[in-house]
Amino acid sequence: MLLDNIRLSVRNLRHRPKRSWLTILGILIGVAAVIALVSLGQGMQRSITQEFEAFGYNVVMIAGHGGHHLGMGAMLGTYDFQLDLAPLQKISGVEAVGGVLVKTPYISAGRREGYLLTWGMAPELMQAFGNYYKPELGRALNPGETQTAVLGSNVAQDLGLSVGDKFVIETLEFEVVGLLERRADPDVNYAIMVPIATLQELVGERNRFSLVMIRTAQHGHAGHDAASIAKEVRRMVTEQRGKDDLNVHTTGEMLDLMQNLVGILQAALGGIAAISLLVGGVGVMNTMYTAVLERTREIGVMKAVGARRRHILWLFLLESGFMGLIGGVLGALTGLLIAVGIKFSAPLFISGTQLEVGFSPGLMLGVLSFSFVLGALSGFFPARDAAKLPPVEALRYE
Amino acid sequence: MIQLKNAHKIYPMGEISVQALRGLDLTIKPGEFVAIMGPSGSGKSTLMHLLGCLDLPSDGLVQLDGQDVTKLDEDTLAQIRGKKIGFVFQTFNLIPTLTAQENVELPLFFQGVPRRERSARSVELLRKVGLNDRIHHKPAQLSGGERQRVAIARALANDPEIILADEPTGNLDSESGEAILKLLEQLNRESKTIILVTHNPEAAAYAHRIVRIKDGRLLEEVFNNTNKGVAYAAR
Repeated sequence: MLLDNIRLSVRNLRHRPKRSWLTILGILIGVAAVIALVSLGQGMQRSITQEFEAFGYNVVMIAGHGGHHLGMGAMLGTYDFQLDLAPLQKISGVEAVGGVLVKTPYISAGRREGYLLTWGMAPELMQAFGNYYKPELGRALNPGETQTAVLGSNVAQDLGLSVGDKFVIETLEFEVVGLLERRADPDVNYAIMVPIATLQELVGERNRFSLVMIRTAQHGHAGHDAASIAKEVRRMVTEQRGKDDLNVHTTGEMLDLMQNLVGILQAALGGIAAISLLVGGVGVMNTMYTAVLERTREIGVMKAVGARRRHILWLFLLESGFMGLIGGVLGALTGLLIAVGIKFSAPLFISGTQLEVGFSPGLMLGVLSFSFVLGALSGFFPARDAAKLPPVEALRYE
Repeated sequence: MIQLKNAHKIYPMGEISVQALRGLDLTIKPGEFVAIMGPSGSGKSTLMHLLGCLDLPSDGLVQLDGQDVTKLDEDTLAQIRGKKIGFVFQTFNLIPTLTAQENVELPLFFQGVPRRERSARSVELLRKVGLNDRIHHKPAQLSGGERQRVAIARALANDPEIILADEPTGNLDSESGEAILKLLEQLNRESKTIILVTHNPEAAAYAHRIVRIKDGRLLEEVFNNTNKGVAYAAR
């Protein structure tokens, strides 16, 4: 019986194709917007999590105040600072301590030249975070080296350099020994990484750091250890400097912060998209009221030949539910296409952007059933009106 | 058998109310062919609605096969209509989106008849009304006479005892109209009760009894024993 009801409903939709499609379009736009935004948001969340997984959750970072921005080059403070790292090494649970100094010295590689982002990094540190600063070609920096460099994938391409090539920073010549795997963080992809001692010497900033990273035990697990070590680090740093002017955070905290930010962003955008979905529902309701009005006489005839209220109710509910469902299916596909389109076109407008599209079957299923229910709900009041029409009045309707 | 006892119908129209029926008694026995005639505004349509269980009287009694229908709810009435009464309208009132066969299947569908059975029954009925080659046509592809025959097939779907035809020839040329009346006459011979609402005397002449109403009251009843020969019975 349901099957026959469905056939009847589809027949009615096809009878007024233009209006049906326009109504469906309203739902489609709403669903597409929600799917596109949520997929991109989920992709963003997933890639952030992946980055932190590669980096480890149990890393304590010290940086100058301010200058937070998303990504793993994060926490690069607005100013560099002086710090004696030796005492930090002695805290129990600390596996590796190393500093990073970020500068933009003058680089020249053949005919290409400019002031480029350069990370002075302790080779030990790069090896300790080998999962994150992972050479795709060649190798990482080795302790004891002075004039070697590892390049991020973008800067290597821009400078036209590969493993074995030589280039100049200020006055010193460096040899490229490795190219890093692509990461989500543009600060890494555009980084020229050289031994920190050499860079400190070059720019005359001995013992100064932009960032200090401390890897603690139980690498890769979120836990209280990193947090208590961070507390100890903060105490020591404050004592050493005589003031509490540096940020000390764990990567676990940073992950939470970023996940929260992305979550809020996603909720806000999703909310706006949901409004368009709601407008689509109003469109369905409008169409259904018109349909009931148009088919009043038909409703009267059906009642005359034995249709009960629930027959009429179902007929219209299925009709509006279908519009919702079709809009949902097409909208989901369109939304995914839009998300994938944004993923591929975003780097053309903002170079270095890397977006992921998170496809989740759960979301799809949820949106599809939601759009069916939205359609049916929007159709409910018109359908109930139709079902309640007295047969004589409906028959007399011109 | 349908019985109306002292049926009143009052329509509230804003401040005033219109009395469409003012105490009407009428009994229609099984197998009768009755024509109901009257000028417009006589209460003819209201009477038809009551006979068809489409509406209930404001006062008085309507009995269908001995059952008082005035106490029943809308859904029960719908079921009774679907099973016991077949409607034929002046404007055919076919569902434009459905084929001839699907239109005929509709009353069966509402009674919960399984699909296979519906399909067989509808084809049989369309053959009976002479439309075997129009089964899959939509109403728009059919002539007026053909549409009315689909409507009659639809009215017969659940094998009701009563066919209620409201001006069935009103929108047809005389030839098609006559064919429709002949079809109703044939159905009557097959023991269906036919109630024909019309103001066309030629159409009414097919009936065995002509009921005239005026101002919501029964004016006179005319018995017609031989076809098209008229005999008056004083009231």
